[in-house]
Amino acid sequence: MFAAFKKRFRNWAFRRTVETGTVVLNQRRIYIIPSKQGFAFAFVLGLMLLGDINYNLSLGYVLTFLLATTAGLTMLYAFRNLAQLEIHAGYVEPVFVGEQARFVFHFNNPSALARYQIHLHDDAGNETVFDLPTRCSTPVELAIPATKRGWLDSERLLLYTHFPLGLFHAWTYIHFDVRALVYPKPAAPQPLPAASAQNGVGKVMAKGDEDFSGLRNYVAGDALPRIAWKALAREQGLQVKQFSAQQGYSLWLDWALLPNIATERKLELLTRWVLDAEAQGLMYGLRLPDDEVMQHHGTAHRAECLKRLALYGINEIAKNPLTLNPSPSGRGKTSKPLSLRGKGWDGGTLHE
Amino acid sequence: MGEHSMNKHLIYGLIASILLVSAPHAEHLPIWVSAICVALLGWRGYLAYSGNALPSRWLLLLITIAGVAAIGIGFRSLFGREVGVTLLILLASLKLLELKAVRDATVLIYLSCFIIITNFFYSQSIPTALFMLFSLIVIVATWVNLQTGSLSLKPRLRIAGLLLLQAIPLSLILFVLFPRIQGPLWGMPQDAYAKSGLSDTMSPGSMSKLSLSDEVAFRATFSGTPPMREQMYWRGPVLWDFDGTTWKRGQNATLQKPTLADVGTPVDYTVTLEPHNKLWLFALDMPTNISVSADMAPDFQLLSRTPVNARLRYNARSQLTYRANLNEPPQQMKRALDLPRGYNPKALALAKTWRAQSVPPPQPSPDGRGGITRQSVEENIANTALRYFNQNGFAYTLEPPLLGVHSVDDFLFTTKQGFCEHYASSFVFLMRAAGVPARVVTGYQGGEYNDLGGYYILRQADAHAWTEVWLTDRGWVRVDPTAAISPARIQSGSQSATMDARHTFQLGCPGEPMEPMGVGLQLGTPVRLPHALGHGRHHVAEAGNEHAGGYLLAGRHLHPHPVATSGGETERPRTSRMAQGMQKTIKGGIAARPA
Repeated sequence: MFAAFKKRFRNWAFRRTVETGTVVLNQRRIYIIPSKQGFAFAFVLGLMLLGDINYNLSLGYVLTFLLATTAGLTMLYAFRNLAQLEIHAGYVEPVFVGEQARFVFHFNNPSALARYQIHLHDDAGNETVFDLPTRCSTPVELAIPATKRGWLDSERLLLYTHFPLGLFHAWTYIHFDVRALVYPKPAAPQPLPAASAQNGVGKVMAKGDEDFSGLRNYVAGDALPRIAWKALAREQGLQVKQFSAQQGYSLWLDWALLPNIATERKLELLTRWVLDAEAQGLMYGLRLPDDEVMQHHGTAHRAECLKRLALYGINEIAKNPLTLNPSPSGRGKTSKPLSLRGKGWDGGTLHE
Repeated sequence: MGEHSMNKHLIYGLIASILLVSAPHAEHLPIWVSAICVALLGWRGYLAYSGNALPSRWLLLLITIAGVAAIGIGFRSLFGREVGVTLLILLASLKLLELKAVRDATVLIYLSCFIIITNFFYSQSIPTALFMLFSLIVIVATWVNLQTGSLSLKPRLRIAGLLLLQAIPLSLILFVLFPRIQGPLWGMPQDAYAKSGLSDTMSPGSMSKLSLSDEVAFRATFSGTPPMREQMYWRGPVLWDFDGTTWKRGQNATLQKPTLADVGTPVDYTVTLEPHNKLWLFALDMPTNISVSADMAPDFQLLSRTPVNARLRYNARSQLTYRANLNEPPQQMKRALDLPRGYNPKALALAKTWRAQSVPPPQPSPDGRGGITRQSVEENIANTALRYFNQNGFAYTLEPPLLGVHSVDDFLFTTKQGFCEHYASSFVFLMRAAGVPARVVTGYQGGEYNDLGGYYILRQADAHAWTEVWLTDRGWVRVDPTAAISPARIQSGSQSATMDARHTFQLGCPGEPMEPMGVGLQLGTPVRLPHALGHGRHHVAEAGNEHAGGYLLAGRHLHPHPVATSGGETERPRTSRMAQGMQKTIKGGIAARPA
């Protein structure tokens, strides 16, 4: 309950729009408050001052004020540690569910001042810590686990530092228009649809051994002549020879062919098929209930198919993460001003 | 969080910090504590170097308990400044052995800063300040390491040095501008106050330390002509109750305000009192007015309403000549005559013989105011006692031998060495035993004049104890029995008193005529002679005169008015014949002496 309130408050107090391009950290966006240790130190200083007064220690006053001034100065140091940094977001490679999306931010330190111990942190607790040498640009990677297919927004990130003494917490929020595409998790290996042969158009036919393209593990139902007996003799297990079908060997990976299983399972299965079909060098097309990708072949085609699968059922208006509705099942909580990554909804932070 | 999260350099830095801040304490700490701390730090350094696991919690707990217990036994207490510092250093060393999280390291850094300050109890010199700066650089460099684990030593030292350098100007401004609150702020740790000071109990022996302390008790500025030093009896706690060993203030048995009669010209002055955390305020005998809120006890003691825990300045007015509390209530008189039973039988017997000698054979005069009055009986007894001190080889020393259960007997008949407390205590005992109401007054005597500031400075070394006897028609009259032995003390403070005493009083033997003593005195204090003479004071005379004793009481202490003040005040008719006679003897004595 308190966590929810805190989050709400922060969203309200530090409302910032999503940014594109390069962000320069200036004093308008760097906040500083004493940290817990800072308050503790203030308490210690208070004790010391009491001691000075009580025992009338002149040198004690000097020490206390020296420490107090030093502590005050570290506030400036903490600010300076963040100020003037230039940040822009880099390209994020698509990942499968279960992998980690690596968000890249390029931090440019144009000043002659080295920066230390800057933390980049998201609300879920993923964190990376880095130093920035003088006058150079450093790519900083923040790995966020992908738990749900679709777009993974970097969300608003917390950039903070406790340098140099940990007495002050200087921070800023950065929220770039940057998101990672998360493909569905591929299902366990499955034979490619036999149904595609019935279709007549993309019938897979053995045209000879000349286009041998590799071996794959035996799956129940594979034709006996295809079994690589030599490999079996070499004790490499039961494997099946695969042949490329560059010409005319094409198939449809069709949603309609799938048994009646959950939507996500279907997508996982299709993902597996796309990967296998690409790996086997087949011509393949993808048919979804509301979408179709023509038969083709190659990395770009594969990426296109995977993207359709990743975004199946997800509103494409969600180009702008502000209005992205990450909940395809539509739980109806769209009144939030800022989007929350699917994780946020499922993680229960809001429902607590 | 585990050992891996603490890099070696951080641990070395913490060890160095604790070593640096504790090192100046090595000379105050018991040697075994220093040894244990060094051993613990060395152990920790080795563990960090070798990468071995930290000792188990149980072992640490055992060491902690044993260490604290040993300190408790060694110091006989776990409270107080010295013990606190010792514990702090030991626990800091132990904490390093259970360093787990960043938080522990932070605690240690804060502790180090705190330990630095404890060193200032002992020294606030410039080398100490420089050493403090050096320690601070090491501490801050370690502190930076806590935040930036990867940074090597050199840039860390640079950051720390720069940070401190930048902080110095501002902190100096703060140091100058920060309002100084006069401590102490709290009363619990008694060692926050002056280590010596007057107390409201007196058992002969407890004041010997006082005489050696140079700490300032208070300063006094007179608005008019200052009185003579010999008249500067700064009244503090008045002690009534004696239990055989200790004099205490006790409870006043009356709420009646004290009264003064036949007063002379008042003396006005300003006192700047250093905090002593007690209630009493000092004023010259006898105070009449004070500018701060205070109560006047029935025994003329000024008591502040709150403990004086900050420097206090007040104006006061006193009467130097007076007849105090002529009508003292009987219950107070009873207190002034009360003696513990079963103590000091010899002194009791001696006092009884004096009483018998002084009381004249029964006179026919029915009103008792015949030839010899009751007053003169009391005076006789007091003078006898003073003469006794003067003529029986009593010596003044700051290091008197210890006294037994019958402290007064031991002092009067065996040791015969002591300082103001011994004399005041014995004198009052004798007076009470002889039926003369008496009490002990403590406070400060004299003062050192500061030419530049134009004030008198009273140090703890000027603490003094004297007595008052109550005489019919005279009220309370101040008698300083120590003066009968050691006039030098009254003249120029206790330091020279001890010196003079060595020279002077060892000469005096029982039964011997006073001459050698007088000579000794003259030799010891030749410079003060004219001073004493010019104002009709009598120290010189009292030692130099064959009839010592009588005038001491009558002329100087019993006489309600100065015999001849510098202002040329005429003598009152009340002046006793005794005093006049004494004046003569003084003059005679002076004339007889070389200038």
